[in-house]
Amino acid sequence: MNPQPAFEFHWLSPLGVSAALFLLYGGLYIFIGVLEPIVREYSSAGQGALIRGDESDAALFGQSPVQLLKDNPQYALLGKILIHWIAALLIMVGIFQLSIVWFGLRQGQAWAFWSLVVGGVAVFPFWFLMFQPYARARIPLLHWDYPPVILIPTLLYFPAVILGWIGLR
Amino acid sequence: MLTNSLAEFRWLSPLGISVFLFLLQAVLTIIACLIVFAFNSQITATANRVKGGFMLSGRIDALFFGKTIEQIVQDNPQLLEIDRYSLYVRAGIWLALSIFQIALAWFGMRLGQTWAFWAIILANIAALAGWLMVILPVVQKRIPLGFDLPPVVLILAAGVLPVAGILGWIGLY
Repeated sequence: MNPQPAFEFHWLSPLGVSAALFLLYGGLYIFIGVLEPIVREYSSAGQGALIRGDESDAALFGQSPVQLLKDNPQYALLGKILIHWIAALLIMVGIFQLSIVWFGLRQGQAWAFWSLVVGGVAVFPFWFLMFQPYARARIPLLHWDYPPVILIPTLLYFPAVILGWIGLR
Repeated sequence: MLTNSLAEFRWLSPLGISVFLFLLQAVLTIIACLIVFAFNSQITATANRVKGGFMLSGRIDALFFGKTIEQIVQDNPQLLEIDRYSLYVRAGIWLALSIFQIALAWFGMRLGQTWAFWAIILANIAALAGWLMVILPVVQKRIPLGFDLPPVVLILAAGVLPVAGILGWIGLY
């Protein structure tokens, strides 16, 4: 389990690129976690979506998110408060991810790789359940209006896992 | 970086108790996430929200919004549906971070790695800061907080952090 002194890490190797992708993924969580409450508080950006994106949410709920928030004033306030909490959770995941990559994966530790794999895959069943109502309402799943906090890590996850696996073999 | 060998690790030492508390917190959070995964529609039903509330508890939320949970649901027709979907977001993130916390406590802290300890501490401080942002508007309205706060994700986390943090610090330094 201790760092292997003989292990040589190179950024331009499969493991190096995997580490870079996982770092980007964790960094993005921290970036969005820090930025989201500020943006929601002081700008109108991001006010047009509830779960997925403006158009998809409008199709699912039968009215535009902006109108929906007007019609559901308590939800509007609740959503604004809860976003701080979700942002904090994103920062927490980001800190964990960055430290596991930096101190574990970069040293060639298999436990770090498998933790990142399991932790990353754990969210997918929840995303699947969350987006099921959109599929049932026949809202195209390939309409790319997913929130960046879900879309970008999902796109980075698979190449990061494949390259990490090749690099550690 | 201070590194103890695994052979030197003892569960009944300050470091051992600290690792155990962080593992316990993460395992209980994983159980809470799995309960959400299996029973989300029941958890987010009006009857359960009357007791558990949307933010902190049924009592606190009702005082905060100035109306009963039933009334809030009636006045905000899409609230339950959005609440159900957004709970999946929170539970998914909780599950991921609990898995990471277990990995850091087991493969890092147990071996005396200080970076793993500080990663867990920093991340948990961030989570508690998020809770503070949720609690602050309630406190500003002078609504009394009680033991009806969310048990695993708030009370346990807030209790574990200082105790496990101090014990971990003693054990590592």
